Amino acid sequence: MWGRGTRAWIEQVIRDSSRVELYGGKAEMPSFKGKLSDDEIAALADYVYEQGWPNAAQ
Amino acid sequence: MARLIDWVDERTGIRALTKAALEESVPGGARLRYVFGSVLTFLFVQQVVLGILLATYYSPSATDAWASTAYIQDRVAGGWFLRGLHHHGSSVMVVVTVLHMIQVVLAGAYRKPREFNWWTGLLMGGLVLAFALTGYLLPWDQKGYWATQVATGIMGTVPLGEPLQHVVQGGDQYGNLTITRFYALHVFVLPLSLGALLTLHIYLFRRHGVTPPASLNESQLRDKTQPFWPNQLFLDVAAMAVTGAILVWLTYRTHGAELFAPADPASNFVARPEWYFLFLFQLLKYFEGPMSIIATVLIPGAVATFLFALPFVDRANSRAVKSRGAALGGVGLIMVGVVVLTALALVEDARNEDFQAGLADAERDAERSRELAAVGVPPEGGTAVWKNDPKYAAMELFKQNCSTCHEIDGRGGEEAPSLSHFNDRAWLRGVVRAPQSVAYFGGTKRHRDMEAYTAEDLPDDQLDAVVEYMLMVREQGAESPDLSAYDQALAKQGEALWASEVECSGCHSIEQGEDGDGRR
Repeated sequence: MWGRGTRAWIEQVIRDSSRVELYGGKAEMPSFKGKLSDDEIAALADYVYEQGWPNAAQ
Repeated sequence: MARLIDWVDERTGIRALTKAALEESVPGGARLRYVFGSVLTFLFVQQVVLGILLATYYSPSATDAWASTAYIQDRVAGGWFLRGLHHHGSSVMVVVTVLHMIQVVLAGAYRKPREFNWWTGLLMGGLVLAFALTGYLLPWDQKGYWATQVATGIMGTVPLGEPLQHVVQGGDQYGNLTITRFYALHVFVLPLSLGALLTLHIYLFRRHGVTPPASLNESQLRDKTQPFWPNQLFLDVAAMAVTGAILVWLTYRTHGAELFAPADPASNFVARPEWYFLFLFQLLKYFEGPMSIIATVLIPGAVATFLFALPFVDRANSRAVKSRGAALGGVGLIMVGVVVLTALALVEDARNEDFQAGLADAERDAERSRELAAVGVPPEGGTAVWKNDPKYAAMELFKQNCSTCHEIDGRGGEEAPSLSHFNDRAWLRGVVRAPQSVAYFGGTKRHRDMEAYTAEDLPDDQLDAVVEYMLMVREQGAESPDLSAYDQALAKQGEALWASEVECSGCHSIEQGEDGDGRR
């Protein structure tokens, strides 16, 4: 659970959720590494992160 | 100067016209209650002049209308002020029209021989509302677009309303033809119609003169009668000046008219009509489905029929207020009904949390879209300003790549956890209580092994502690951890529960770099 849900964690999940420290063999989400640019992945991670951050910080 | 006036007079007869206008007798003398007609004429002329000035910048098309309005609002020197005066001018016109109507009703000025004056006045009142309705759409922003859809939707529900709605909209749906038709109505059809009716109204008014106060007898009237000039003219001009001052004050106070984000047919917007149509909007809430015809046709039709028939309904021998109870009671009932329904609509909206939240979102979008418009509006139209926004670009990426499985704000699939408020306290509480809900892992294929923790397994206060601990662990793994926003004592309790009673640690690791999601 360390760092799970942080911006960096979301970015890693989008890149490749099958990494062993993420979802490993249970990963169902496709890897977007190579399909989306680094900037696009970062923008997407920001967007998902901001869905929860305002409430999480309250 | 005198020679010039002589020259003009010889060709136009202007002296005689001016004399006739200024010397018109006012039976019973000048009174403040007679100013409303002049104030309305002043407001109409003002609206025409302001409308012409705005039209020099405004572009009536679905792609350009919002951009040109934003340009007037934010870029043209004083544009916001002119647009604000025009916007608030329509509201003030509605108010003064109602005041004028009340004055005419109280004075009994609708009675013989002034029936046609009353009827032309009622028609002009309808045109004032039509001006407001058609003008509301022209900025092509979210509020105008969705509020006008409510109005044309009502039009479509009345008998024979559907073909009329089709003609007004220029098709089944709103589009470029809708805005050109509303524009044509607003700047050509309605001003010409109102101008023609106003001319007829003034002609009829001059023909029959001012309705004298019913409280004065013949000799009192004769004694008190004055020419229009100077007393009544002074009152009229003073009333126009006060109205103008109120308009300027309103415009400064509100920094002109609102301009919401560009109209987006694919969005959800909390549509409300402008305040002077709220009574009808509220009335519709009480008559849904097939019964809606009561609110759209029967009640408004009965009210209009009563008002047009008022000269015949009122058969009293005197114009004194006390002898016209039935007629005045009917008009009073209508007024009270409109005021009560409007107040109810405002109170309900003030208490409606969803509406208030939607309005706050809309205001945030309005501000952002205008910031983006300052950079430039792409040729595709108003909504294309969002392309300049990184957040919007991310939303588009999400829509294209993620929404098949994940949902945000009610849009998207259920094959993967919802990302609405992802990982906030409520989301984490939900996932502990019901991990197999479709909002969490219920739609997945390989994340079905976590069991729910009921309130018996984990009371709410303990759940709060565990969630606080999860958030702390998350934050500790961030690039620049900031733990100040978390309740560390509560998280400490959560840590104890995590490892012992709740046994989350049986599946989930909290150590940096270890395997995740139920794997140790």
